[in-house]
Amino acid sequence: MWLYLLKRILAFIPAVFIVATLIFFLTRVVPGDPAWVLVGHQLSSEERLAEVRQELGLDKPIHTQYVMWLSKAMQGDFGTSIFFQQPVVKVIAQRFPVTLSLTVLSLLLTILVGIPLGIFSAIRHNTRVDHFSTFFSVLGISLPSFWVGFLLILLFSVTLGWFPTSGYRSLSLGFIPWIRHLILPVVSLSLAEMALLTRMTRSSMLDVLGRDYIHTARAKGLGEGRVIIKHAFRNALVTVVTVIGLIFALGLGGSVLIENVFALPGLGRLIVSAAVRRDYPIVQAGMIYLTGVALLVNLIVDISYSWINPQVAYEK
Amino acid sequence: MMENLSDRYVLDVRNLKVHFFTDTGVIPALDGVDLWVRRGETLGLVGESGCGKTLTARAILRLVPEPGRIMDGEIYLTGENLLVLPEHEMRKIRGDRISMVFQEPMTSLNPVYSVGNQIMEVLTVHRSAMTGKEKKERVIELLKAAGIPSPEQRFFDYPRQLSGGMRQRVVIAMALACGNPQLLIADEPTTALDVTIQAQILEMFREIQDKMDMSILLITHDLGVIAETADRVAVMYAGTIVEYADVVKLFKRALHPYTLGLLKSILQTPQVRARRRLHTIPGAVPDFLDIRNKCRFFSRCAFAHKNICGQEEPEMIEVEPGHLVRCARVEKIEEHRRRV
Amino acid sequence: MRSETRRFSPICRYLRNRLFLTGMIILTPMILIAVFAPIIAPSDPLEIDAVNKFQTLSREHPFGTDEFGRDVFSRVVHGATISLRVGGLTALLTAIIGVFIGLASGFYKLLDAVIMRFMDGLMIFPGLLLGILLMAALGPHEFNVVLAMTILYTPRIVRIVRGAVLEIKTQDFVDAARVIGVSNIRILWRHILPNCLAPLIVQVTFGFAWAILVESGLSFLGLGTPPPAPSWGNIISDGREFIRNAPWLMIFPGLMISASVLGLNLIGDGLRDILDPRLRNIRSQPESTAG
Repeated sequence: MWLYLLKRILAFIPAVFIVATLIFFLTRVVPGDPAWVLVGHQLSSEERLAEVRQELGLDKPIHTQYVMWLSKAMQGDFGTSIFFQQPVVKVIAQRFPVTLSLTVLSLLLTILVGIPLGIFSAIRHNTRVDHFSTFFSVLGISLPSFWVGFLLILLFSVTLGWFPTSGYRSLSLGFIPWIRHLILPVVSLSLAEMALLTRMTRSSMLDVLGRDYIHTARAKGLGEGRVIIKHAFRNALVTVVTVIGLIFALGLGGSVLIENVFALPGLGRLIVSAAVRRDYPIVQAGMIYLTGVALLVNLIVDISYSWINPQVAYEK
Repeated sequence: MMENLSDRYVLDVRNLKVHFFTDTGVIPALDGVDLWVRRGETLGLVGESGCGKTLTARAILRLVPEPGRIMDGEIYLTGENLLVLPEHEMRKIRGDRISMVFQEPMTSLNPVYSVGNQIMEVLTVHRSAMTGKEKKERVIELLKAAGIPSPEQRFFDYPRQLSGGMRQRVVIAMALACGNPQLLIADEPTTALDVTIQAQILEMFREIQDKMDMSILLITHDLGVIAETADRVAVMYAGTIVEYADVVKLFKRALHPYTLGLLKSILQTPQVRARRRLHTIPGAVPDFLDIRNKCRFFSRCAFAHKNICGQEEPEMIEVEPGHLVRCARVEKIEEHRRRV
Repeated sequence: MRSETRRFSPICRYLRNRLFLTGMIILTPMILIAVFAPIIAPSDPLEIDAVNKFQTLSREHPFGTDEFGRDVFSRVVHGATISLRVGGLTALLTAIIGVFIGLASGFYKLLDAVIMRFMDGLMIFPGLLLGILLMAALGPHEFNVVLAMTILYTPRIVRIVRGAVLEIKTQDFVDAARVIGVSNIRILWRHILPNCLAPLIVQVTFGFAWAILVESGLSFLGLGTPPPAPSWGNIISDGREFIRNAPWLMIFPGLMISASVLGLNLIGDGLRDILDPRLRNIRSQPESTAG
């Protein structure tokens, strides 16, 4: 058990390293000279450009730059934003809570809706409820979330005026304003996540409900609730949990779109604008933060997996 | 009169019908099954796979799988009709008055709970007055009685960590958790085990039965197992009982052509087996949709007569006390037996 | 082999599957619109008409006009061509590349370790983020969108194909072929590939749907098909500022995206049930961008 956990945690470190390396090289093959961006569109002299390049370390060969960047990054220093002229970490620290609020709340909503709906659908297999939830779950993954976001704005903000159309209030300003600004984004982001989780829960519940040990449980004289929750769902959870990590990663990707729709000052939106502006220190650090969170959630999933499925502890 | 009979019988199943409602039509999977088990005896239920043996067991517990439904019949447990009980009353009976042991010890235990936990659960539902400590002691006692070494440690083991034989012992311990079930249904309890373990488990059943004066419904396709353990035998074919006799009689004077076929397939000397392939009954279990208005064994039967067997389903006839056969050609078969 | 019997099975088996049939009913008009866009569209999707800005729905302009007076109906119709072309091309490319890499990876142990490391590395990233990075690197061009999405989706195809190869490789007929001296390439081509087709086709269908969604997302962010080309994502992106006054600008293209993706996902689900019921549960799932 402990050995398994240790292995998982150790595997986390090289993964982060690989991600960081990939991100560095991907951002550096971008055509377009960051020095240009910095100096601006005024007709600048070659000397000024060379000066800026030297300042940024762009004159050195790429592998030297990589080593320098990596060693600094490991100490938590991702350099200075070209556009904001501020330490990258500081810029990111302002936006990170927004993205985290959005994605974590979406995941919670997804779990709260998706799992019960999937279970219900499985125990009412082939009834109208099941058909409805199956249709809902195909529809859910087929709608573009950003478009759903606009529809929600149109209905709940423009027409009904219940929620603000855009913007963000920090949690430190109070729970109500925070949640009021997040409800529509969270709902539009979690629609597809819910659909996916409902599907997965339903199919793994259907699989489990056909197993022999479910008959054993019933033959023991257990009530249907106990059979479903204690015996069936606990086993279905083994597959469902692995999907949750995947769903969270999807949510991180989707947050880029949703933050754009609702003008939330989050990390995803920052990365897109930085990518367009060739502000590569921001892009690099932002990507590492987001993938790092995705990896971390996967690690948590792995750990809870070993707790849910005792076989893991003995086999690996 | 019916009630008086039921007093003698622990289990009395009458005219049990289970239909499956599929997309392609209604399948009468159990088509009027009659069974009775006396106190302290073992009734063997034999037949090919797919004939409805397991379904009968499930139906007795009222756990028929989808899309099946119990359509008709009565199931008396010591005189009480189970089919009219509300579900919560039925639940009290399962695992307490009727227990079941399944075929596959590999899959009939839940992989994510320790075996101790799973046995204890039976007590939690049926003996809610017991304290946690009492329950645990009782479980360890059960494990020990089921022949599991160092039960205190095994209590915390997961099914994966035990061998097939050990798991089957756990399942048996679970079936006996509530003390004294009136009926134990064992569905092919030894099929998945290797021969030496098989013998041990069967021996265990015998011991338990002697000790507890319990009735057993033993489902199997293996006439060898029947010969060793059963007192009486019911032979099932395509959703109904075709022959019914005590075990000695059955091996000596089987009358239904299907039973004869089953017996032939095992009662060959090793030499014969070496020379010829194992005797098998030609054909396969008929399509359930295709057995109206004739004997269900008609298409595979060597003794069949078109005008008799092909016209209507034969009635169950009592050839001597306690020996019943569902065949219209009994005289012909007796005659054949005398000649051979 | 299974695939052989399948080929001769009657079409009605496909049409009897409700999921497949519904999907086809939704998707077929989309494909027709995409193919016959120049005939269907009443006007040039790029033609600017400053006088008729923000016209509401009318007989001349069934979906109204946008801020440049362009006919939204014509734009949405032409958008079908672009979106389905980009999605279809991506599906095709991922299928071809994915099959090659997947076969190689499943068949040659040495390659497998390297390839799968790389594929896992690619799959770590939240999909859309990597797409954004790639598009920023490659620059906005329709083909670059296809390229970026191909890079994102190929690992999933590789996994499916590799998994199928590993499963089939253990079966007797492969050994039998090897024993009688059939070359590896021939074994791959004649025996293994046909048996990978079922899961491959299902996954590629889901990939098609996924690509339409991602293309629209990237275009919406300004990193997809470059404007003024009327891809559905671009039309929504153009219309977002006018959501209060001219909501039709974004409603119709969104409906088209949803319908195409829904159609394809239903077809994928249907195909999975028809071709390979074993897959039903966990292995192939439609991809979502969650966005």
